[in-house]
Amino acid sequence: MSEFTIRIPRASVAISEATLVEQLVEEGGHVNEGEPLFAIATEKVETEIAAGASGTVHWTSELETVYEVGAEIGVIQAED
Amino acid sequence: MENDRQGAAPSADVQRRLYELMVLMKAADDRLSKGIASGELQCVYWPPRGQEAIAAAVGVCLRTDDQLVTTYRGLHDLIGKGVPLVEIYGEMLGRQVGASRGKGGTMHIARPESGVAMSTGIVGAGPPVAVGLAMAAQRKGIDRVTVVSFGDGATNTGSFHEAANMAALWDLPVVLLCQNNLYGEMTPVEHTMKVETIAERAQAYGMPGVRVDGNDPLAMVAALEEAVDRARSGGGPTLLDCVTFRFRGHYFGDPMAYIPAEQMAAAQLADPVPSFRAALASTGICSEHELEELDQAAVAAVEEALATVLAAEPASADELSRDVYADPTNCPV
Repeated sequence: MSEFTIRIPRASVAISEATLVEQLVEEGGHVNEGEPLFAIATEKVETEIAAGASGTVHWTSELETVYEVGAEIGVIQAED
Repeated sequence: MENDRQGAAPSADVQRRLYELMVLMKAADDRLSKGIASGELQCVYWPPRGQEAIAAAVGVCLRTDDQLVTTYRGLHDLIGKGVPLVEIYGEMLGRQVGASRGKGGTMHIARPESGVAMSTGIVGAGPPVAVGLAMAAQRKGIDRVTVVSFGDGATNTGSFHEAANMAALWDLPVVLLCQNNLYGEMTPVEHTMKVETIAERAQAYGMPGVRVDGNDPLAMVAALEEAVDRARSGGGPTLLDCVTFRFRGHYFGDPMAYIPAEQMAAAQLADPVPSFRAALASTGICSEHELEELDQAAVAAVEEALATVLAAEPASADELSRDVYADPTNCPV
């Protein structure tokens, strides 16, 4: 079963960290690639991040926590 | 001076090649953008999406030994000039397979074998380097042409002025290729210059200046062929003002709040990749089946290159002192 690691994206050139403010798909829920998956706050901007793959979402992160760009915050397991 | 595609259109093979390059540039941008947006890929990126026609025309008009100097917004230029995708993605993602062994990053991609002398991260820094390359070719008696790519904002810098003046004075074999995407970072071009066109700046230096539809690859080929021929035959430099647009803003993640919605909508209608695809279908140069094959081949080439890069080793610390000094053993580091 293939797995897509969910990471904090470099949403803007100058950021090094971001706050995870919302998980838009619940633990164990299904997401399709391209659909909103979570939201981060950087500087004064809040950004919704789209899923990079389709499958079942498992979170390994806490809300209102600051993570470095590239940090793993969950996985999407393909349902095949 | 306006360029209106005078002369014969390029052959069917050349037109097909133009589309093949353009769709590869778009596929490479799309995949990188998707990967960065989702957190899958970690790199900085200044997307050229929308400027493909210019770079594809450079690709078909230059010889491999002709030189190109480009900028941090250079993904399309590098593909056009023949830098393998693995080396471009590899450099952007900091892997040893990168063109600069992963230590240069997005802003510093060079590949002498493909005629890419350098990429620069400093706005306006390219033209003086291109003048030096062209001067070297002239003095050595090599019939090599240098093309330097830069944006509209670069033409407001002192280094552009100095380079244009010297290139014209010495009839150097260089083409000053302005990819005029109408914004210098977040500032519209009309807020930074009094003149209406960048092309007219050429008069001040005593060289031809040509405004071209930078979204039309055939108009670009016509303008570039003339400029490259002039340079190669000793006729000196040309300033090309190639009017285009960038769809993803200045840097990846740019919210683009400063771009009026009507301007973006109009630009999307003139998107060079689907426009040229439709033109090839309507003139019968490519069938829908051929176009689909080219589209799929581009996506497959991008996925294959990305898989190779992601499996490659990160840049090595051993690289830190290499390429810094001619003989690093005798220099303190």
